[in-house]
Amino acid sequence: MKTALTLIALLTLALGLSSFEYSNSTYTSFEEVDTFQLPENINTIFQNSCYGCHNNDAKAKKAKMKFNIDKLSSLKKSKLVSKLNKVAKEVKNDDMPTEKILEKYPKMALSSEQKEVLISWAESTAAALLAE
Amino acid sequence: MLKKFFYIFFGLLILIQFVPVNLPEVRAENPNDLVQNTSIDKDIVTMLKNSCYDCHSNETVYPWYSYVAPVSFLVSRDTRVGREKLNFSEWNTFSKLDKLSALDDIAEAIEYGEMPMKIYPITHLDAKLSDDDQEKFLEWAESFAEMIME
Ligand code: HEC
Repeated sequence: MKTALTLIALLTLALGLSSFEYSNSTYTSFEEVDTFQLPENINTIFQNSCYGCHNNDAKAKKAKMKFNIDKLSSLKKSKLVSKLNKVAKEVKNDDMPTEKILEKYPKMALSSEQKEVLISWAESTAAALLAE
Repeated sequence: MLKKFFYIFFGLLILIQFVPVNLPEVRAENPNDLVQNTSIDKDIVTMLKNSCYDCHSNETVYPWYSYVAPVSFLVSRDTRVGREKLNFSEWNTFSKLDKLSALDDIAEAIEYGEMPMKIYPITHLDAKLSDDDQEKFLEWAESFAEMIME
């Protein structure tokens, strides 16, 4: 029993560490580009799971106002940091994409790997912006 | 018939006065308060105090009717939730990121007409933000966020 518990604890630790490593490796440096550009892998995730509700022509007014992917590059830095922070929060809490749309289009769901990529990108980019 | 209705109505009204209500505590000393620690334009301070502080700070001013059920139920819930979501009395304890997110939330809430809550200016006439007020407030939120970035 005790050994089993120790094993589980160690495994969890190892997994935790490896995901940490992983999140660091997917870190996309913001400083390289002057205007804000979405990395290719992030853009793909956004297109598949988010863009339909969060673009310039979206019908969902509230969704468009709170988070508009088309407008990200024109945002002031202070706003961009907040939006990135919110992306991380929404994805962490499994609040986005909305439950309703997932019932209709299960293909829009984020895989746990995609979630991790998105969260670490959003958090590290926000942190880099703040540190500038 | 009508008489009976009134008896029941007032009976219930008296009865619900005995339901315990927990109005969030008022605290006068708030060393981490936004307004106390930040240089903010007088107009903006007035708006913050008149339109936000009753629910978003520890300095809530409870009018007499907020002690009377069922109004007390609404006031206690709104004040509790308001403080949980954003408490200006704790501003200086926020991280940079939380400050920026709060200012973004504030801008959204104002642009979308979500805040102040519709019911609030009915009894707090000076809480209503005119279009001009809203614009000034949004400008302040944006420039304050830029300042925090630096
Ligand atoms: C079916 C439409 C839909 C999809 C798809 C969708 N969202 Fe949203 N999103 C909304 C709506 C509606 C809101 C506004 C919710 C509210 O505040 O009431 C919102 C709000 C947001 C917010 C702002 C939250 C805040 O508190 O300011 C962010 C950030 C966000 N979404 C990110 C995402 C991301 C990232 C994805 C993809 C992984 C996504 N959304 C997919 C509909 C959608």
